[in-house]
Amino acid sequence: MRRNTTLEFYGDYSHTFADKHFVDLMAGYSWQHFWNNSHNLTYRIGDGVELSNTEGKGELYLVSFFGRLNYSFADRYLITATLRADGTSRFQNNKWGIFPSVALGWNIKNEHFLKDFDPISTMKLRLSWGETGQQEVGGYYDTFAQFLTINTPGSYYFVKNANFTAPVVALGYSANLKWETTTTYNAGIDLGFWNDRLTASFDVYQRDTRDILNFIPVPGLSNLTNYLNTNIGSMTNRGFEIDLNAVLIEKRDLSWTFGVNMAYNQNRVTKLTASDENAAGIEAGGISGGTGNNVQLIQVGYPMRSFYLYQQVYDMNGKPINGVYVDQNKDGQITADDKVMTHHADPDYTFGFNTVFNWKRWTAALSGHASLGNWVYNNVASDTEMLADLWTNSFVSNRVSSAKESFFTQAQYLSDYYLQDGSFLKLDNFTLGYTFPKIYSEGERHMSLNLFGTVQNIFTITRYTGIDPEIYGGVDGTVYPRPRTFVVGAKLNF
Amino acid sequence: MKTIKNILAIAAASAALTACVGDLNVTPIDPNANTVDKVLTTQAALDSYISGVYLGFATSGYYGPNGGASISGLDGGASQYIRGLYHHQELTTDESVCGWNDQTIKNFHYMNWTTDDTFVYAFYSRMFMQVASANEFIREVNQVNFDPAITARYVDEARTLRAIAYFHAIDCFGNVPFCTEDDVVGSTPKQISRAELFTWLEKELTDIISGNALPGKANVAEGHVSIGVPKFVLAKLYLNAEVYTGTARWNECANVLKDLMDDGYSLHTTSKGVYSAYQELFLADNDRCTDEIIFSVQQDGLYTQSYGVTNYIIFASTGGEMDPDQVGISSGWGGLRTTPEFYAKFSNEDQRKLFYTATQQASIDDIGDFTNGYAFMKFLNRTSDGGYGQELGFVDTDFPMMRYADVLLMAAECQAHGATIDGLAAFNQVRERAGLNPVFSLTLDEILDERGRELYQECWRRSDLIRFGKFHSGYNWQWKGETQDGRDVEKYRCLFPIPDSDRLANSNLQQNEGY
Repeated sequence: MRRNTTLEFYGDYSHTFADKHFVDLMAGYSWQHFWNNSHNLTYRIGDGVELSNTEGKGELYLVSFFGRLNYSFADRYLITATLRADGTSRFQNNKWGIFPSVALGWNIKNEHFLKDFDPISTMKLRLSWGETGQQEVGGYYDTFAQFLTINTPGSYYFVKNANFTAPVVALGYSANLKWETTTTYNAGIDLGFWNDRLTASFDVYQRDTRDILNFIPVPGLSNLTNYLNTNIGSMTNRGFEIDLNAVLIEKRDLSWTFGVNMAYNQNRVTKLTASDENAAGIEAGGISGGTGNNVQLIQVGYPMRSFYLYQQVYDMNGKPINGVYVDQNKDGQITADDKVMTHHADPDYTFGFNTVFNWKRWTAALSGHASLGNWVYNNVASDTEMLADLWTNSFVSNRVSSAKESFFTQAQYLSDYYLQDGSFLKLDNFTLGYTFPKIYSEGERHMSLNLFGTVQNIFTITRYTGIDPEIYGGVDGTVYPRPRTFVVGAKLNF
Repeated sequence: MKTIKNILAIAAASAALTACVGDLNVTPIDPNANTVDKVLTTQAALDSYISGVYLGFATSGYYGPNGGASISGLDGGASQYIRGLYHHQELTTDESVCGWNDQTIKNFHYMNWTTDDTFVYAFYSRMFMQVASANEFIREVNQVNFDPAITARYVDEARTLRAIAYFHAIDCFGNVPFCTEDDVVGSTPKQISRAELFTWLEKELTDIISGNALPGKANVAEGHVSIGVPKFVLAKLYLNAEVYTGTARWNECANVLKDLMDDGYSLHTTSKGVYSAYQELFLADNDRCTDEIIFSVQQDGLYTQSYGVTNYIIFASTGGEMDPDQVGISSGWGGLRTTPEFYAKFSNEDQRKLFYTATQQASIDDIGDFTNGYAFMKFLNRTSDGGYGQELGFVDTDFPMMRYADVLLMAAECQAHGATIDGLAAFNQVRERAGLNPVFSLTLDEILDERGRELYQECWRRSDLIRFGKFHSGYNWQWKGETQDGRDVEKYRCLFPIPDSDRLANSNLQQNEGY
């Protein structure tokens, strides 16, 4: 059972002075309470033996004070300043985060020198700086030293003792968790030409995130478990975004619009503070197959989701050699020191486009997107190619067909053979429709009918050999392909 | 008018503010997860809390065998403490192979494990979680104001459980991270050398023994640590002193053993007639064998279930054409068998020769084929009167971690190394129970073989082979070094590596030599 309660108060005041000075002041606070309670009982069919009995209950409070000031002068100069103080019960020893922001705007189009220049319909410059906070991590009580009273038969102990009581165990915790804070600097310009037939916007930004929250392995013996939510360090994202939209044709029975966007982002880990500043990095990117294998490393100077693998050695025919890797430090043996940072999961460039074409009662629309520089670890292949598993305990088991390529006898989970360029171009959607404007009329009211056919997921162009290169986090364990969908439909509008 | 409304709203808000901000000071409302002040309210709560520390040896986690493991990133079942101990102490030796393709599981027997082996990391994590859990117990219980005599006993139980985990650490990993109750949760541990850890363990165990807060054999509650347990661990420490520090301590070992031999333990020699007295120590009702078993990790088919401990040993040892009914389980997992070299150590009259051979072949031509190599029938989920454990899916059989027979064999070894103790008589007691003739003198080779025959599958073999100089070289068995006839491997394999994962997380840790 869940129960969420929200309470919000705010006051708003706005006034325009002397026809030119517009002021808007807002202040308020909000109070949120999240509460949940779950109880799971499992019995075995037949004899009714209780297999498990777990109960969980928790609550989270969020309290915020916030204020905003908007000021604009003659619709040309705009300033917005905000300040928030957010409190969370999740971080008992660091409850509050203070997050300010300032945004400046200059509506150049409204200046005298542009006002009457018709070819330019929009021109606006934006500058902003602001901080935001993130506290959504783990459970509600991760900062408490908690003692769990076990209530699942199966994990009892000393059950034959006369004075049996359920065991109590101390759980791992991170007492000092605090808000993850991101500072964003942004500069942008919005442009419109010919009555906004062509619009463009261009943004450059830098986002510095500190005290990143992540679930990471902690040093053995330092806590009561081996993985914990922790503030791990800082990273920076830098990039730019371009957005173009054009109405290419606009006539009575004919219109054609076209939009494209492009974004570039570069991510770097700038500091690691978790547990130990001398550590080489933090393992990440858990895979299936192998208990506890990780294929990524969070390391200063590299993108967040960088792969950390052995470099595969290939034979004269270009086939990978089972278990042979490049000895990077030339010490005559393959150890963890021979793993290398290589490629990252998040794309460098992303692109999108869409176009809509209308002719009389016909409509055609097409959209797609593309990504460059995103690499994918093919976990499906790495976990099912090893031929040694073909014959186990008198059972034959299935192998993926790509096993013929690698011919690995044993699993090679940490080989960069399984790391592939996941750059792609996808045509996502094509729709063709026809509208009957009046199939039934009653006075002024008409019923229209729209018939359409849609194909989704039309094709993907990629060199990636797995099922789909579009994998958040870069570890592909997808067994089921994304479906290509054909939809034929009719819509009635009353 | 609008302004007035706003002012009213702000006033109403202000009134509620103080209460709302105060809401942020929460305490857990989960009925099963409490802060320590709510848990350790009565002396009786100490029973619950100490059983939670024992539980670390017995299950994978806190929510039944399939429930969430108490460590992350690792399969719960495969990372269970005693299962990890078996991987390290048995699969690396002539006693046992495992035929599965579970990732790198065969590398234990091949002796080519690497620093990123996840089974090694799993056991390592378990071991230190056990230490951390005992540290936390000691820290908390030292602060409560109950009867000091009572709390001293509980604290010494936890100290002993911690010493067991540190003993496994010194034996398997040598130079390891080290923390006591004095180090707060969240601090990064420093590394301690193998010799330093030896010194600490020696003092710690001696302190526990001389403190005498633990009950003796006669008074101890079933399954709990008695004063015999720290003595046993101290004896093991001295027994291996030469391996751990370079200096042998046979006389000190003999002294602790003599003390332990006066504590009321004896070999379990009376059988109910269905199984031999020896085998009764490894059956579903072996909790009755308190005469001989000094310490065991409990399992219960209904209430203490895991995919590790004896459940692993019994299920994984059953496969091929074996009849699961004879083992007392539903069906086996078909993994563990022994090598022909080990099987050859048993004479036919030896009652400890508990193997299934009928549809098996002695030689392991294919390590993945369960029928290659004779299968174990030592641990069973059958009871001493021929019945069955409570469940066919989870065993009742406890894992006897410390037995009096081992005390007797250690005494023999001390005597063979010149210490003053009647080890020959002790040695012959063990032989007699097995149905063998007494010997009239002791040789080291014979002691090592006897230890194998008596203690196989009980997770001592690797330590024994290393101590007798037969582990990395001097003795080979099938598939050691990944060749069928076996071959010598590097000397550094006598210690396991500090896992890469932990060296990444903790830069204080130096890798063991050779890796």
